[in-house]
Amino acid sequence: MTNALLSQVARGELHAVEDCIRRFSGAVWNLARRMSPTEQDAEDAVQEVFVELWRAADRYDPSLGSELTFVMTIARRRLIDRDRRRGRTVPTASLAEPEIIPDQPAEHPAEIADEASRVQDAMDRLRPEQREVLQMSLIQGHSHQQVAERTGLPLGTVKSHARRGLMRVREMLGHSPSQTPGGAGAT
Amino acid sequence: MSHPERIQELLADRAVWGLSETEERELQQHLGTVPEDPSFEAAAAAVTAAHYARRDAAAPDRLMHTLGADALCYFAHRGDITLASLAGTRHPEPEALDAPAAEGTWPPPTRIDPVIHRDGGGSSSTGWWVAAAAALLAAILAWQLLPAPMQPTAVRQELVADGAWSESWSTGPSPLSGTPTGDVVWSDTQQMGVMRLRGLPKNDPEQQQYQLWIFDKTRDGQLVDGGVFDIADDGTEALIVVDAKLGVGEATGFAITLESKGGVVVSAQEHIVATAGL
Repeated sequence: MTNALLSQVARGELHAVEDCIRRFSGAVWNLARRMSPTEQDAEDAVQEVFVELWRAADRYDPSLGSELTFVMTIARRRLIDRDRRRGRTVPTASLAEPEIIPDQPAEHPAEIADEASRVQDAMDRLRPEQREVLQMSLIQGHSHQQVAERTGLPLGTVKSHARRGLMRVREMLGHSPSQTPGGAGAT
Repeated sequence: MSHPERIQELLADRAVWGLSETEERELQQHLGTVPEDPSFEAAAAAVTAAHYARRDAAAPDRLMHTLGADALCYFAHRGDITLASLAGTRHPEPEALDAPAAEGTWPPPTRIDPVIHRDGGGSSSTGWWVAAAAALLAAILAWQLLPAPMQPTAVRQELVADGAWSESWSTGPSPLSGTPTGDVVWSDTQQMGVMRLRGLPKNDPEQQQYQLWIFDKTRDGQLVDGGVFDIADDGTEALIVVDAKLGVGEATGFAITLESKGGVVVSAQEHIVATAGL
C-alpha cells in the first residue's frame, strides 16, 4: 500500500483524515453549493460525500488519477443521486456564483495541478460548442434541459455535444477502466 | 445503433447528468455481464476537479467541525480509534498516545500524531478537529448512558406482534445465490426490520459483503441501502437487523446483492442472491 493520503485514510490514520478534510472539503463544498437548492442541503450532501469517501478510500488507485478526481467522482455521483431523488428541481447557480469564489490556486499536490493542466488542455482542444456544454454541465451543474434553454440548442444536440466532448476528454486524458470508487455499477 | 455505441452514450450521459430509471435499466440490459467502463465517470470528475482545484474557498467552520465529528464516529465505529485516545486529544502526552488501550475496552488504537492535537498548534490552527474530537467524546459518553440496543430476536418479536410487513425470501437470479430461506419483517412506521436468513453461502468479508436493498414506493424506484452484512455459516440461521440508511416511506420489497467489501452506493445488481416481495 502506498503513502498516498487516501491510502493512509484507508488505514484509519487520523492525521490523514484531517488532511483529507482540509484538502478536499473546499472543492466538494463549492460543487455541492452549485448542485444543491439550499445551504443546508449542500452541507448534508458534503457530509454524505465524506462518509462515502471514508468507506471507499481503500479503492483509490493512485496510478489511475489524482485523489481529488477520486473525491470528485464520489461527490458528483452523490450529488447527481440527490438531485435525481429531488426530481431535478435545483435552480442551479442559486447558491454559489463564481464571483464569490476567489480564483486563487488552492494548496494541492503537484499531481493535482498536473492533472488540472492536462484537463484544461483537453478542454481547450474541444470544439467550442462541446466545451461550452461540458462546462455548463460539469462545472456549473446545469441539467441538459437547462443547458438547452440557455444555449437555445435542441436537447438532442446538447446531449450529443456532451457525449462527444466527454469521450474526447476521456481519450485525451487516457483514462483507463477501473478507476471509480464504489466499484462497477454505481451511478 | 449498435449496443456498444448505445452503451457509450448511456455511460456518457450518466457521467454528466445521471440516468433516469428507464435509462439505467436499459444500460444494465445492454451491459449484461460485461463490466462497466468507469472512464467516463472519471473523465467527468476530472473536469470538475480541475475547475474546483483552482478555487480556494474553504467550507464553513461549522461544516468542517461536522465532517471531523462524522469521521471520528466512522473510524471509532470501525475500531480504528479509541475512547482513550480521544480523551487525550485536548492535552495529549506523547507517551499516552503510544500507550495501548485498556484491555477489554476498545480495539487497539491507531497511533495518533500529536501535532494535530495540540491546541492552536500544528495544522489544526482552527481547532475544528479538536472540537470535533471533543464533540465525539461527549457523544460517546452520552451514548454509554443509553440502554443497550435491542437484540434482533426481540426486535423481530415486537415487529411481528405489531403486524409488520413480512415476506419470505426467494432465491435470486445470481448463480451465487445458494438456497436462501427465511423472511424479512419490516415496519414503515417504526422504520425497523429484521431479516432471518439461512442458506446464503458464507462470504469472505475482506473481499465481498452482502448488501440489503429496500424498494420504496415513495422514492420513484430509488432503492434504499439497507446495510451490509456477512454470513459466517450458511447452515445456521442468521438474524440481522435492517440498517436503512434513509427513511423508507412505503417498503414494497427487498433484495440482497453481493457487493465488494463495504457495499456500494448504487448496486449494479450483478449478483442478486435473494428477493422478498418482488
